[in-house]
Amino acid sequence: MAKTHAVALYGTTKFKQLKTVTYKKRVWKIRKDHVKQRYIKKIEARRHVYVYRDRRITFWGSARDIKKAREKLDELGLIPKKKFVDKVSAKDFILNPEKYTKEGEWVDRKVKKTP
Amino acid sequence: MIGKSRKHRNYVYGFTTTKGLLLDLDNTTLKESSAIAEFYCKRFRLKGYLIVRSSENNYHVVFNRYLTWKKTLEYLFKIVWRYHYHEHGMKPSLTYWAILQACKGSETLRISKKNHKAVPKVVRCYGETDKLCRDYVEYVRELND
Repeated sequence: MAKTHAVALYGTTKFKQLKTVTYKKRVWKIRKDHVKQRYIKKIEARRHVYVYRDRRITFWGSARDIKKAREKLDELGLIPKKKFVDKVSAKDFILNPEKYTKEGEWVDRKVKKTP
Repeated sequence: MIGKSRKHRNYVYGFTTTKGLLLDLDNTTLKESSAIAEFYCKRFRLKGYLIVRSSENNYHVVFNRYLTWKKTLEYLFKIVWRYHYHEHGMKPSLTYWAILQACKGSETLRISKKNHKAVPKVVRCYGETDKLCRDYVEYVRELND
């Protein structure tokens, strides 16, 4: 890894994540007196939903390598795997980007803090 | 694993280093920030500096000399200690920034657009600018194509 300088890319990302979601469903209930009655039942299910998270990736290396790494990131539409991916060699990223990143989008939202 | 390609970049990027002293001075004038930079440049023998305007009344300072991370933290928190309860209303924001950088293990300054703020611009340079200052300018030029 580590040369002396780096470039940190940070912002809000959007990607799909498996989550437990509660939703309401109208179902029929048959009472003891044989009257059909409809009521609302809460059901839990595992679904892939879009989530928004702040993420950061830091590329270490020369300016030229970092530029190439950033172009690759833009080209493939990738985001960091974890919240903070800080020790990434730009050369290594160019060879195998799937080690540090996954599929997702960078979303245009207000960035409140610096990393 | 090819995702959706995006021409418009929605992330912010910053110059990160562990080998030199950077400062993020919020709510200051150019006069005040250059006074701070000059004072500490002489005191710590940092040989030169760049002052970069990030937005209105917000400035960044990049000192020229290469330092170890230990020395960088030492100098940074000496400055923070001086200016946290300063009489002219400085600088808890510098303290928060410094703490964040210490947690992260490196210092970062923005070199791209952010929200409605433009790309930072060099407004003043002093002394030698052949080491960290040159690296900073090189990274900015290369990445802001």
